[in-house]
Amino acid sequence: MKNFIIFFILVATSSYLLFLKRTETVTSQSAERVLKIYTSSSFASQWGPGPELKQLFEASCQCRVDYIESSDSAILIQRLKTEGDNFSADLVLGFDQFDVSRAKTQLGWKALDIRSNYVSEVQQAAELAQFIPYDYSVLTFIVRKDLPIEILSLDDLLKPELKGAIALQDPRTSSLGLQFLNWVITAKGEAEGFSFIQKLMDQVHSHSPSWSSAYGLFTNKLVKTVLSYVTSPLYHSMIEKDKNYRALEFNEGHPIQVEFGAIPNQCQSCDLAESFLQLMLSMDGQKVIMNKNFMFPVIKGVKEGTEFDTIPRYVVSTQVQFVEPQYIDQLLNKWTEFRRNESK
Amino acid sequence: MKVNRALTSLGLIFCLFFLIPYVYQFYFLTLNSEAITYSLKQLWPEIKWAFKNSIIQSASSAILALILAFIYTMAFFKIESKVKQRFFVLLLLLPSLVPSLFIIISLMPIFDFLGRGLMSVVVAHGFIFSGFASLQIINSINNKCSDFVGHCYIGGVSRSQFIYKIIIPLIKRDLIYTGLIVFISAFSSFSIPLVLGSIQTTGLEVLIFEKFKVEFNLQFAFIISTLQSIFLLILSVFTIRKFQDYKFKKSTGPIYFSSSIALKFFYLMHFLFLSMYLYQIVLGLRFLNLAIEVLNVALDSVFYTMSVAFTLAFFSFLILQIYIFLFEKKILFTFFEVFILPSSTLIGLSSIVLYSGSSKFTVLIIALITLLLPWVIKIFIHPKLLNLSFQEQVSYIGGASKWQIYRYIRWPQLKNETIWSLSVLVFWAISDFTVTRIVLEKQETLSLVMYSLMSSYRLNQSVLISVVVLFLGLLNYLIINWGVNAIYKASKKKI
Repeated sequence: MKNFIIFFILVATSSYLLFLKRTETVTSQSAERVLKIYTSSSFASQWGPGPELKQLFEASCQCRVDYIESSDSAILIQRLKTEGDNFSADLVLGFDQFDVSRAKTQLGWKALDIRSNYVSEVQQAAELAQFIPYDYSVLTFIVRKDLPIEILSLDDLLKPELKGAIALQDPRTSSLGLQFLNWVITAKGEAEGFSFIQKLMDQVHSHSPSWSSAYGLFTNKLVKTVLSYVTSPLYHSMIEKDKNYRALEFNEGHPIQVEFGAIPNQCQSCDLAESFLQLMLSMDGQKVIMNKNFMFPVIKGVKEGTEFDTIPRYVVSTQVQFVEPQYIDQLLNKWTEFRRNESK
Repeated sequence: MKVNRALTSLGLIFCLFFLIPYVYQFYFLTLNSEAITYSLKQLWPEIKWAFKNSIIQSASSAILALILAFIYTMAFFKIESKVKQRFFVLLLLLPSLVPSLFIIISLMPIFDFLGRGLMSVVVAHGFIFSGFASLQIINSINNKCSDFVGHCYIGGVSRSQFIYKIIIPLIKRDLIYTGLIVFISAFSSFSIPLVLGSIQTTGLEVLIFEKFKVEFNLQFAFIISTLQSIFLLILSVFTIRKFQDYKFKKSTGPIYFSSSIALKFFYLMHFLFLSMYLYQIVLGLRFLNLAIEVLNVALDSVFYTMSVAFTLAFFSFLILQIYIFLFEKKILFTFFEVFILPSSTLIGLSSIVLYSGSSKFTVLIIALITLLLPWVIKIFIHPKLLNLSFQEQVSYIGGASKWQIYRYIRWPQLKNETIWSLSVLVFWAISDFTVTRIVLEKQETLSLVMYSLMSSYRLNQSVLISVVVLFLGLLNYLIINWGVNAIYKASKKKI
């Protein structure tokens, strides 16, 4: 019976502590204005830019920033839609250019008048009034420096030494996979592009559901190369002090991925949301995003003099495209159909 | 009479609680029925193709898992020491307790040898699910075949005769049932077919995710999910276990069904897996400053994770006791035998909509109970309850009341199953990030910290969190064991 009592005291105490923690949150919530930001867990986590941006913003706004995390943009949009009347996001961060096309058709967004001194790579992306770019990176394949072969073009990925040694992402589940598919089709045209993809299938180790799974295969030395960002080697060099990685440069030029923030029409602290976006586009904000997200800043004069400046300027294959959702569906249907027939 | 009616109503309410995600799904579908008919026509070729892939993949996985489970069972019966048996069971369950990405990376040399496609997917599923399948077979053999061992030994029955003439006929239905559980789990598998498979392993679950994530089309996702659930439901009806199919037997390890070769095979497989897993832990510890940073963040989440674990264990214990008390209601048994949940992503989404007025903590607890409790009832509680039916019949004839049956027969004999059910349920819950990441808004649980590490450059560090999760799982097992035993002792004193 003694054990029984101790056990229940343990359960009751933990529940009580949890209750206290929650009460504390509610009390502080009622005392000040709250800015609710829906974003990805990688942005809001301890190792992302979220906590530092929150600290910077709260120092001057007399408000509290509350991050509401979601694993990816699709779940985020569905949550916003399904929450209906309880919908309370003031700002949504983490869309890429493919998501923007979808998000525009699913929900209403505020037109914003936020101007900044954008770098040339994102100038076209910054033309949309509702979606504000805050970081970007160029996509490429990452290899270890001791890889004995030279890869200068997409066709070099077909070299026999790379057979079964390339990690790609599945375009149906990963935006990077979709970027690669679009890259090939843009660079080679549709017919030749799919013929290239057919040849590439033998070279591909696997199509992972996400960037992280594919990158995990690479860091665990299970593949020789992986589709990632030109800024990826910097993570290893700055955080792990490992300079053994390099980003490849392709003759065809490279795709670019831009991340956007947007304010929904139903926002409650709309002014705070706009101020937060402005902070993200300030020198201080951009430095935080660059150093924590390992992505390039979108405004001029931020990366100069930093390690990000040592990355050579990659030729971008096309400017940022806001493709129609129907185009994405068409591309994916063809990819699926093509792979289905190919493996018969 | 009134009591009986009240109990029946309670049983029905019990069933309805688990049907709530379906209610949401059907409500959503009926909102726009014309569009649904149109969508279904549009989707049909794709569904047919993905359905065929799912069937092939899941059936092959179930067969391989059963073969491996048979080998592991032979290995288990070779071990005589109770302590070693516990260690064996822990090893057996480990592959189903760590995130599938770690399994994939750990066993990649095998998958590289097999190549990408059906074979690799089936081997991965087989390895992950064979542990549970093996536990089911061990229980069935102990319950149904132990009594024959002595007679057969004296009568000079050979091992193959014992296997083919006694074990297989007696546990046939349990084998089908275990195979079905593996089939269903493999049917809704997502990451493994994507990483290890080819396009031919694109199943319905991948299709649901594709419609949901790439096309942002919740309607399509719901249609496919509904069809998937209906199919699995029909399948479950055909494999339902008989209500009074069991007789109570004392458990002893059958000497006929053991093999030292099987034991060596088991240790080899798990040695390979464990050594690669340990290698990843070493990689995670390579950058000590990062490891310390990650473990610091993890510590912040330990309290919340443990609160989830305790609350879940507490309420699941209560629900399980109500279930055990009400069990003789055939409707309950049939319901949980055939009950199949829709996609876990959709459970998360429906929970945040249906319980939107409640705190996230409450929603998480409800969602996890809805997702996990039916599984542990099927796997741990049903076989034992079925075993007790003979004793209960005798007691009824002797004039025992429902309450007496519960208190003197069911509760004492289901104590260990309750401990296992709660421990496994809590472990699955604290390592879940499918439902948790949808319901919670912050990285409050360890699994979400692990998930955020896995989606950044810090994959190797996320392995360290998986070790913390395993440790907490073990700790929870000890606490649950202690708590349930304390309640048992307290109730025994009153008797």
